Amino acid sequence: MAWITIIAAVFGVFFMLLASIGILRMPDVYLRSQTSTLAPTFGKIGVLLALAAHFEGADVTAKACLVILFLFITAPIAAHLILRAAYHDRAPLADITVRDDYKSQN
Amino acid sequence: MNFSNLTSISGIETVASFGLVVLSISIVISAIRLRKGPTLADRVLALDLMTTIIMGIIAMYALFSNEKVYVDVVIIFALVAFISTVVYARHIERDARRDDRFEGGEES
Repeated sequence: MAWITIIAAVFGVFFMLLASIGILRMPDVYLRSQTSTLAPTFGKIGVLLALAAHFEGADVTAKACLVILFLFITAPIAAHLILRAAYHDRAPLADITVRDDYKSQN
Repeated sequence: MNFSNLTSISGIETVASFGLVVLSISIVISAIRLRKGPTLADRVLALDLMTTIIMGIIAMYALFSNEKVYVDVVIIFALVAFISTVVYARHIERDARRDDRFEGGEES
């Protein structure tokens, strides 16, 4: 069980480091939200699986699985809300943007 | 001293210590984005990421100290981070829509 804990913890910490590097290097807020939504979800899943593998007993495992399910529901909702607010706030798009489909819808 | 027990524990403790160092570096990097961020949404995203990294730090400390209590703290942080992000997004969007209405009324 110790190896599962170590592998899951290294996975989670690595993806959290990737998320922070991505939020520093991406050019505009829409690309930054991708790295601050997808990679931390992987990071949280790895960290919670490490906790579930390390502690014995069904309660920690059940709590970790419930939180992973909750994160799968809430992470896209939070990213969608914050990006719609950023678009209505007229956050500038990066220079490499090819097309803007949302402009014609409002 | 029971050396077999010591070696089986110290692997996880070593990984948790390195994880704490790496997560501290990444929270500093996201604090740079929180300082720089051109728009308000950038700052909200950086705060959301910092909350996630604090979740990771608490989990690494739970692995380090072998305490089961910190799992509940991680769960509470996951809930509070979502609610705070939603409230910030509503605030930004309401401000933007109010400014739009004000400018439109001025033009017409």
